Amino acid sequence: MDQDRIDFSALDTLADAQAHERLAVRIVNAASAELGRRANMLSPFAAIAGWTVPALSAAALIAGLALATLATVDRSAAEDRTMPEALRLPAPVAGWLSEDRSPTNSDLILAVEGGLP
Amino acid sequence: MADSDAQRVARALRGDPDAFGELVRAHLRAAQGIALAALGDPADAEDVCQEAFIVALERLEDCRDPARFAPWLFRIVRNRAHNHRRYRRLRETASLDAPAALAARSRDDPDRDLERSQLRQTLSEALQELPEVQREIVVLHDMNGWKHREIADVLGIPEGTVRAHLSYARQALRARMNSGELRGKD
Repeated sequence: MDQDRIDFSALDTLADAQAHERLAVRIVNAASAELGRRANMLSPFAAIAGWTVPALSAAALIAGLALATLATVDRSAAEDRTMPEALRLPAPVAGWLSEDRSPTNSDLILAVEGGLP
Repeated sequence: MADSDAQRVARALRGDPDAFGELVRAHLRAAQGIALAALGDPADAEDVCQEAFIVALERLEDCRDPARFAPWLFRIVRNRAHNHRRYRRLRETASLDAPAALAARSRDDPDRDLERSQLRQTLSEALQELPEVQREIVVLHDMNGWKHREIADVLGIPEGTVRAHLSYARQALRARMNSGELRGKD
């Protein structure tokens, strides 16, 4: 112990551990509003991270509904139709497609004069 | 292993009350010593400490080097203590109730006898006559038990200067406390 030390015990109100703890608790309580504000203040990344779980859940639900719908649709009728029929293309266009060729000028004139449906 | 100040600051920035509590408990005594050195009154020093910790939390983003939270906090404590001192001077000049306030405070602390109350006043008055840097050094060293190196680090002055100030402060305090002039006042 330093013999030259000045005795400040009369002023040292926090030397007592209980007094120290009381003041510490008082300060932390007084700071509760600011601590709460900080806890509620999410960063943009934290906000995005917070949305990932609900977004993934929604995506999974939609995927499940879509698969269930596809599984229950009667596919036999669709399988009997050709692509032009399924797309409801006019007959001249369907013909060009089936022949795998581009329409000539005369094809186009005939199609227009004939009246496309 | 306990968190470092940098880790505590990072957690307190996110509003972690435990981290803020750890910062308070780690630095409260030194902060109170610095406030006491400026004000001389333990109750005022505690109030200033509370204010300073709240201000520090509100401005925590401004603490550019969280590992050196303590020196940053102590600057806030010092500024708040100076503001409080100016306010107290104005209040005491404007009011004649200061002796009554002191008496009321003394009634709040019945455990402390008259001798201790006088000693506190004597110490406080003697302390106020020292230059600020010497007040902080002698309080941090002799009351809070800090080492010369730690004080030098926080105050940003050489260790040798801390020793010299401490020696001068002790001599001045002893001389002031032993002087008949002060006893006469008591």
